[in-house]
Amino acid sequence: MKSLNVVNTRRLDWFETEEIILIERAILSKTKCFRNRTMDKTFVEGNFCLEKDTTDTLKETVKRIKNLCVGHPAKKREYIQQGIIPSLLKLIDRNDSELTWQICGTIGILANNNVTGAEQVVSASGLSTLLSLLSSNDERLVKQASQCILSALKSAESPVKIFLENVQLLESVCSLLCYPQAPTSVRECTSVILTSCLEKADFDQVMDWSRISNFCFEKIKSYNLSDPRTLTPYLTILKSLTMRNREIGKQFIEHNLVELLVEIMRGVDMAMKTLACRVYTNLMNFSLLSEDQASKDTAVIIMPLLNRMLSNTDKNIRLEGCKMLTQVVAIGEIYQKQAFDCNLVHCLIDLGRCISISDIEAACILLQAVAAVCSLVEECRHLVIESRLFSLVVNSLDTSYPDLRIAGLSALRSLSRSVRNLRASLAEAVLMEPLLRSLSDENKQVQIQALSTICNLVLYFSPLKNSFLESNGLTTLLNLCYSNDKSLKYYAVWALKNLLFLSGSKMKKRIIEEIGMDYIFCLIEKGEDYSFQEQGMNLLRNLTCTFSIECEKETILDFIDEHCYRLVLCIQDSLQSPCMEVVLQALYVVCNFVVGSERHKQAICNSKVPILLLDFLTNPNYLIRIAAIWCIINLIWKETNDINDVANLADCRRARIASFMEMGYEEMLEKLLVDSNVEVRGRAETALQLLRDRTMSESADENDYEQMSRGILL
Amino acid sequence: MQSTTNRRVFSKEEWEKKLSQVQVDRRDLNLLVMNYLVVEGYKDAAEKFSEETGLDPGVDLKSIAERMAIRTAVQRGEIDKAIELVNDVNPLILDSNPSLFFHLQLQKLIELIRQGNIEQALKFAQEELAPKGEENPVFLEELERVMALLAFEDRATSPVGFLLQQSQRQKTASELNQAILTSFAQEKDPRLPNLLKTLLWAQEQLKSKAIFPEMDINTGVLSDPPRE
Repeated sequence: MKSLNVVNTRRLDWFETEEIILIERAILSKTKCFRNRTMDKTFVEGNFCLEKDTTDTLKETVKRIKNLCVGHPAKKREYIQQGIIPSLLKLIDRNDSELTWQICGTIGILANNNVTGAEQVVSASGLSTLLSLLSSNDERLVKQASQCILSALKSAESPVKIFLENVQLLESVCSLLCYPQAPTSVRECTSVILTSCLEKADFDQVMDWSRISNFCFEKIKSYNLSDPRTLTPYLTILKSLTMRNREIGKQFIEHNLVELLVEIMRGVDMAMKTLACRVYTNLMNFSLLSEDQASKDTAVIIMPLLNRMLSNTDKNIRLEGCKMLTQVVAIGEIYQKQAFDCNLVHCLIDLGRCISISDIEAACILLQAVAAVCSLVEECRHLVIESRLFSLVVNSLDTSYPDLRIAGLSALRSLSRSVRNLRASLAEAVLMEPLLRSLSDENKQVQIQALSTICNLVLYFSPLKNSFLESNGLTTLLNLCYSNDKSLKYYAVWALKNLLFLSGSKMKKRIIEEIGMDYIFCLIEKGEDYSFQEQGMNLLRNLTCTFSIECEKETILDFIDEHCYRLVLCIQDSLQSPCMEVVLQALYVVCNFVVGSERHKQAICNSKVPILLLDFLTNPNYLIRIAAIWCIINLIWKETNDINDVANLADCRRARIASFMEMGYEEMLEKLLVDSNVEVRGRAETALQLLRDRTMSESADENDYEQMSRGILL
Repeated sequence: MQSTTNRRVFSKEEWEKKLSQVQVDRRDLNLLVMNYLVVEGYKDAAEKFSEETGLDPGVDLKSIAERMAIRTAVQRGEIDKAIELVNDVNPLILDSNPSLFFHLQLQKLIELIRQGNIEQALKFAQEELAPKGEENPVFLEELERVMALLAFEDRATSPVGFLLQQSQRQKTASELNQAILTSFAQEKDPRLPNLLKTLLWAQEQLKSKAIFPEMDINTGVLSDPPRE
């Protein structure tokens, strides 16, 4: 046996013990080709020549290999490299139950925590061979084969690919699960396979899952009270099925299973509680539960459970808690508040202390939770920004891992919504440089997240707005406005829109000079879809707003005047859009455009806009009704800014009012005095007063007017 | 009934009456006993109890026998045999739990030292345990403690002599037993001791509010309430 050491003494030093020499002898004494070859050559050919052994010898040999590999990653690697897995799989054909049992145990070990081993099981059609063993009558074998499959699936890189390519195999897994006498191990194994498959979006389309969901419903209904753990496989599957499929969630409720779910959530078994909470959260996510009930159960059961999970000493449980928290708080602001009240933000901060930036996966999970919990609640943001966790957010922007950069940017995006905290801590952090770098990142998702963050940071109140402009951010942003990628372009326009919001005329001119009015008009006229038209109109809305945060009394911008005709046409077309979001923005543009300019008022009144406005007064959407009334108010308000031409202005206004009266505006507005919406009623009253009392504005307080007419525009 | 300290006083009769009013499902009590027998590995007793009460033990009774065989092997110092048996039950138990596997190997080293098989002990430590110690400082510390046995002539009375005591084998056996139970998705600890702990805690809490006959946990007998 000394010849074994010829190849690599260090590598094979574990063959030295007496016991192992015996094992090798058992394998190799039957290997004719061995004697004249080095061991490597024999193994490279992937041929252990095990086939020639008697079954009894093989049982012993395989068992010993198993015992040898348990707890020894290096030894596993050696065996796997020599191609032992396909050889062992072939031996299953011998149909010897004891041998097959040993083989399953050994393959399970070889594939456990070893990607190559797991991939070999999958690629060598091992999965179908092993799945076929699950219908055996030998319970011990079934259990071992199940464990072996689970090991391989857990460690393989893309474990479910084979099922996507072979739907028949997936069908056989379903049949195994639903087989009435299937032992627990088969149910566990098949449920894990199906859950892994369901977590890949593509699988939604692969097959009809109703058979599986119905089976699970029935099983849950007939569950054994004394041991809720027997429900694990079915709840696991339903957890995955209800994650994306609203219909199955609905069926869950129709089967009256929510009460049972709450009972399990209140139980003591942590794993079961977690599972039940996941299903419950899915139902909440689809708004399938009453808000009152959901918020009560979340506050009383789910949040305390999350607190326990996030305070656990086991890091994996804490990270699982992070994932669950992300899912729950994404549903709504109320849950973010509950998370805050239940001290979960502090738990995240504590977790941040034991996660370093080099622990990519854990850092990603934590940052995603931060992003979710801080998206709507100021108190949560404040805690994070003031803690050391904020430095993890900032540091993540500079890593070489796209997923981590995305998670970090997404957290920063949520934090950047904080008006109060923006002024202090965010401004101090050196954010702009990595953010601008992210705008040119090679990964599109990173760019999108960076753009979304920039959207918040360039708003008028942000101390980082100047820093963005000084770092030449505008050029990068304008370049992205021309991106061929739809999402990038969309978010870039959004950021540009926010940059224009309440900006002074100097900034507006600069932006328009660089991007051109034509770009904005094209967005609306030739926009890829309504979302672009809406954004384009929103850009015009902010551009035409004559109120700026610099408090300068702006004159109507020259560059808008130049494009008056095209703008009115654009408004007119947009008001006829079937998309109400576009219509709403167009109405806001009318409001802003006509303020302070008789010429603009006339341009609008000479178009189809007044007729369209009349229609909008009966629109079912109250926001549209309010915006339309504001347009009317601004159109008939007496302007006082041109004192040289007061008489002419008054004449024009009278003529406009007369025309509106003739069109039937008075009757329509009267009807709105009993509108269901209080704001509609209030605005309608103001508009009616203006229509009926043509001198009202002359006695009105100008400041009141300014506030009133501009209140809606911002 | 109010005492001077505002604590309510219950006589033994009153207390017993109250206790008898508490409805406890007999099946729940039986489940508690069955859980204790299964987790602690009393296979024959569990079997008999199952026959008498008609309760399902919830596990394959054969698995209790397997678990006990493994426990016995460790308690006898037959570590290789124990490892082999565990691997027969579920090879992933040790493969997925490096700390447990290391502790079993350490126990093997202790057994080799106990047998005076020093040469083999050194070789085993060097080849199997030292590489793991290099990767994990906690393992290294534990290994060094066992290796310290070799430095003493009279190992049993040395500062690390406790490693040679039966309690060390028990400790390893318990760790292994718990891992096996977890792999069966079974509870690691029986519920009964926890219930008794809860009882003691509740009695302590109650003492601040009432004077009542306490239960002696060893005998289950109620004592006479202390006098005010």
